[in-house]
Amino acid sequence: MAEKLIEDPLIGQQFANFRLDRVIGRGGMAVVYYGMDVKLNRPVAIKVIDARYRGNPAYAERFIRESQVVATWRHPNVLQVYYADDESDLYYFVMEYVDGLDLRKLMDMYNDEGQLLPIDDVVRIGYSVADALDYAHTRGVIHRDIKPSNVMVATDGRVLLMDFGLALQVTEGSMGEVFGTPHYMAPEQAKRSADAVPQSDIYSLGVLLYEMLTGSVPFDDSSPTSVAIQHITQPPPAPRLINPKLNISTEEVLLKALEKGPSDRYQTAREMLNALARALSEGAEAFERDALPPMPAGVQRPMPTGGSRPGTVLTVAERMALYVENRSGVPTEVDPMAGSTPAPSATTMPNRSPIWSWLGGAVIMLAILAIWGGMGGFGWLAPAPTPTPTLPPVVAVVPTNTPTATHTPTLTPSPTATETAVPTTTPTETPTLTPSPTATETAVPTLTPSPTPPTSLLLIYTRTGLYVINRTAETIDLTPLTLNAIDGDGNPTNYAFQASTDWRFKNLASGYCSGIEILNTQNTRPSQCEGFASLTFPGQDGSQYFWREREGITQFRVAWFGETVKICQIIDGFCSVRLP
Amino acid sequence: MEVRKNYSHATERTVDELRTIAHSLDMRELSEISLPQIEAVAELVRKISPTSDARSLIRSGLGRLPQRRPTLPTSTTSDLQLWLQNLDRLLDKAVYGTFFVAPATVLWGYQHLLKLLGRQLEDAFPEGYWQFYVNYALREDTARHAHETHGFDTILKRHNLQLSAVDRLTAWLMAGIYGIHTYDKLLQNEWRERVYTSTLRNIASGTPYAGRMSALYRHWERERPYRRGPDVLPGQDYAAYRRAKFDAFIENALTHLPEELRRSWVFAVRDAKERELPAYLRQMSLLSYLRSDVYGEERLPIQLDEAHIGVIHQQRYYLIPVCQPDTLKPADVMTVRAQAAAILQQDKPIAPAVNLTQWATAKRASIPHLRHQMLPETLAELDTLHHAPILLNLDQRPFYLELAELRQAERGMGCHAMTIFNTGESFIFDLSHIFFDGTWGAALAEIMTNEATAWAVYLNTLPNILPPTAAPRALHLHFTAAEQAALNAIPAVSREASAETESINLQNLLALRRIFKLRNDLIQLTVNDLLVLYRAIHAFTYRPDPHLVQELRHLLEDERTRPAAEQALAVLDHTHAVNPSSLIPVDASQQDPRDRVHPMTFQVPIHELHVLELHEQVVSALNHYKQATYDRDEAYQEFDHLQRTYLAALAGCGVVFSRAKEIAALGESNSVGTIKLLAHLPVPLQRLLDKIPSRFDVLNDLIKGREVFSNIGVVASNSSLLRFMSAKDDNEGKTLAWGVLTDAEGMMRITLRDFRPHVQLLTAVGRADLATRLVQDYLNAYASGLNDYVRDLRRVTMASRETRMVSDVGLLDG
Repeated sequence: MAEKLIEDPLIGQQFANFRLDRVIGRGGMAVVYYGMDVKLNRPVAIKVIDARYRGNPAYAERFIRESQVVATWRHPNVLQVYYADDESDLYYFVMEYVDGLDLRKLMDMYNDEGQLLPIDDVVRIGYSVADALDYAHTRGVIHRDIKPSNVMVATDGRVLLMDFGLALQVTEGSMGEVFGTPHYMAPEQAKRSADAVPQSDIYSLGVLLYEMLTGSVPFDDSSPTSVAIQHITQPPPAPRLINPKLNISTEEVLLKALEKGPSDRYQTAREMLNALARALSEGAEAFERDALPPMPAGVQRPMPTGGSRPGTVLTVAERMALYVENRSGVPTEVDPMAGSTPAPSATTMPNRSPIWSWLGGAVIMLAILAIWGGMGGFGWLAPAPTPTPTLPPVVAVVPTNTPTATHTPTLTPSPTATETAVPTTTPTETPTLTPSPTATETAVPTLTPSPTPPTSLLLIYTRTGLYVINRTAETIDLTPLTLNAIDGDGNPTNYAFQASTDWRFKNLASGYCSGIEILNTQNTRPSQCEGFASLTFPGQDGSQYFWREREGITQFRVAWFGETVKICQIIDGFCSVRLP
Repeated sequence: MEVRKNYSHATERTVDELRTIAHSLDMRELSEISLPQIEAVAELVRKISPTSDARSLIRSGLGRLPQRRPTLPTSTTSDLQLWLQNLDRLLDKAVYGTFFVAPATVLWGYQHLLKLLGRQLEDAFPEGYWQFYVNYALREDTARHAHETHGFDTILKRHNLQLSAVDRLTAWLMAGIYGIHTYDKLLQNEWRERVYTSTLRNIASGTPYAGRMSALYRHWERERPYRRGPDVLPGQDYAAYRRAKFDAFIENALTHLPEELRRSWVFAVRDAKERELPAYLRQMSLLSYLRSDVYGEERLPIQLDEAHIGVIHQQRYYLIPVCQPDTLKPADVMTVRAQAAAILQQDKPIAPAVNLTQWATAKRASIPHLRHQMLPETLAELDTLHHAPILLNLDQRPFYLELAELRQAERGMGCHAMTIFNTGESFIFDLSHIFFDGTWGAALAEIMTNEATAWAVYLNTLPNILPPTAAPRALHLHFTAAEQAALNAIPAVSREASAETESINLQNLLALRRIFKLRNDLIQLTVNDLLVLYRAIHAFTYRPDPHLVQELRHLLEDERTRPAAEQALAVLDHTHAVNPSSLIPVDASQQDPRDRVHPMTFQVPIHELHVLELHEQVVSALNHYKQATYDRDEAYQEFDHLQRTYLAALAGCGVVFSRAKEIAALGESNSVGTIKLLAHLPVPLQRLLDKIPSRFDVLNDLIKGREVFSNIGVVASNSSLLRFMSAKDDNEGKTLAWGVLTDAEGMMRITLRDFRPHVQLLTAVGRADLATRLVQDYLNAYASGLNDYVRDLRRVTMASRETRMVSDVGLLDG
């Protein structure tokens, strides 16, 4: 898929002031590119009518309409259109570029963990969509395609309603096609698209809220037609049957929002949200009073990764922060022994490698940038396949008991194999060449460590700092560990580290991580060190710390009780060593 | 009548004396510093004050004024003449003139002379009247108030978070450290929220938007968060979170205003911010300690990089820096954790135990003398505690104690803004009134509890291993025999007994208010009005438990205990003869954040409105009507008449309460007015008001009241505040301090501190228990009496003419 993206002939082209850099979304009738306003030097999203529909005037007209609908709008919850034009039969419009996730994906993340969005976030998102809808309705526009994938939650916390591709000018009416997404579609709209009224959007928002609060949509079936029919004929299941924690008032609000007749619903979206917020706050105080607070602001990294805190639900803001953290810099799963294959570089997507460490241990990373899917019309239908981001080609010297084909002769020194050898009548042990237990191309003079270092102790060196992760079942004393940077010729330098003096936390409990972290780095620490970490922050000036990259220093020696166990090769600012 | 006659006589005499001054005035001389009228006033003050040097006192007072030689503005000469010519009329018209005895009138005249010399009264109160008042009258250890929160332990238990002792301490230390670091931001929030809303209200006044804007602050009070919510942004501290919430709130309010008004508002708040905010931040800074001298407290600043959190563990004092070394950044949590571990090392304490409670309870005016008796090295060591605005006492206190008793533990030297005690179930915040009024103290207790909980959650994620220790600064103090003797000899604050109750039925009170409203819109008594109203009724109707009286009488038989028993019996006899004059703090922060609180001294007009008699009569009439089997119409007529009269009297009470509060909120209450009388008066002379109660009783009553009744209201719905204990000011004549708080569950808790003379005496003879039982009986009687009173009022208010079936009558007859 990555190849396909690179093949896109529009990439690299410039329309007006806008350069198309890469595809970030692909729908049925349009492609969305990440691009750059070269004059203002700001990122933009450029929606271009798909090649297959360029010759069809009806689609072109609808495409133009979408840009025209929102072009003059200024609303904090509506994605802003900067520019629209056609060039060489290519209709396109340029929008505000928003970095974030669509609500569909956000909800899926919660669902995957058997959780629902926190109530406060439901209300906040609901209000944002409601305000956008009321804004559109007062301007005579009905959205007609309210669904989670058309709601964007930006990393900066904003919530934006997108995709007015199906928008209907109330005064103009429409051709009567049934568009929209059946799961969120109001009964009247399911019957005839042209019958949509502003309260149809309110119905759809009601479904969206229903889903956020219960975890499922009121009507579901493999057949879209069946879903549409249920919307028209069936009463929605009582929300409290699905989520018994909801109170009766909340149920009443949701059911009123899903009334079959538009006049029986709330007349404005804000009216509905006000009612919902009131209902949700009933009896919520006691719950809120006893809820676990967010991490203190003074903590460098405010929330754990690798899963929620036990018994708690991450807020959307927390998830977003996690998302931002994880997608940039050093990959989350950096364990070179994980058996994963380093992915090819995604040269077209610098710094865009989100890692969904909380979704599981997969090493696959997706670049998700304002991608939203859709099921019909001009909605962006599905996220474009994204290239797998660069994994630094981790090269670590890892001993193994299984000899490999690349045996490297290694000198095993003997205490007597030195210049201090003492003549003795007893035959001394002579230096012997032994097969190296390494599986890499790096020749390393290894010694048999004595005593044996603990197993499954992972040392990670990044531009963020130095970390040790204890994957054994026991608490491990780290004081025997020393590191010494060596130059390109293999000579030791003055940059050294001694855990016995430099490490604040010398006893490392099972499953925990200890680290010394450089402050003010733009990179991200390994995910293992997020949740259960004891971290030391040595100060603003990291120059004195040996792991800061320096010219000529590309590797360091890892020693245990003074004996070298490994040489860690620093590549792209990163190195990790699994201590055997 | 005798009192009124005396007042009148004193006023006439003063007027005569002032007139004499007026006649002797030479306007030319008036413009010189050697003002003959000042001399005359000084002479007058000398006559009524037992000091031989009143003249020099006043001179020294004038010497403190920024302008040493005030010149009389031209326009002022005519004003002065006019004032002197119309002295009688002015005195008659003066709000306080008719109530004050001669000394007050003299002070009033003195102030006017100064005013006419170009001095504004307000200049004497650069930090507002309340700040002046607390520095003046709320210095002693008894003038501290306390709040209890349970959120920290409740949440940890609820989520089964097992926190080690080290992390428990670390969490609170970090909350304190960040509390100090963000304190200015918290204060800015307080200021912005009040000034932004009040400015908006003022600007919208007279426009169609006035209604919407008038209740803005009240709306915000319901919305304002006391903790970071789930929508907090990463790294966003509480202060920033709350600011963002308020900004969104005010932005929403502004959208309703036309552009022109919005612009006016922007300019107004910008101007206020430049003019007033820096002074507010200085005034309210937590980074200060109190230095006491004979006449008052002085707040001396602590530099942030020198600030510490004081920790008391097993009566040992430790100091944890709030900043990282050589920076102004908050101390690193791991460093703090290591220091906490060092403190808690049981086997090798790094500091000697010390008892400073005598220092804390010493009369503040005696502290300078006490310090003179300390060796320089002792003082130097003690003074390191000045760097600790917050003390954290880890020595666990039993949670079942009354707050007043709970705080009787190591709490530093009485110069700290805040001391936190740990009960294992809750935390107690013991606060100096000079830094915190009741509501701000409650808010900060809530905020710090929530932040400590957040730190606890974080610390719980760290490896559960004993961190290495890093010894903090410890207080190495050992008093010599002479120093200890000096400590033992120092005069201490009055002993107190205390009691608490939670037996008031708040739901019935609220129901009564609804019934009042249904009955007549004019009956507008708030819950607090009803509490205060019944306090007056309670004072008159209280009858002690006969067993207690019997026990006291038994003590009369022993010569050693007799004086105490006599005193207690006298108090019990005397109590129902006095309508208590209560000092009720009224929030003034909406008017001006720097004013914080306006004290309102209030006497329920219980006699004037015949409340007691009417209540008795109407209840009796109702009972009579209910039981009457004949002449029911007549019985009803009688009840109906009395009911109407009584409800009208209650409505009148409500009006008086409401008006008094309005006046107080504007800073125009008698109490504030009386405080104004002290403007520019030399401090020693101000203190004379306390020293000569026989002459200044009325003034003292007006300034301070005879008891304090402080209700901080209902806490926020997600608050974990449990109890509140009010402060008693330094007026020896003030004997009771009531503190009321309603928690998030709707439970009203009342604390009562008793400083009546018998408490000291009973304690001295080893019968503090009896003093406690006496005050508990007093409070229990209040609570049960109030419940009964509310029940009666409900019956009376709801009662209407009944139609009885013949069979009912028959049943009754039968």
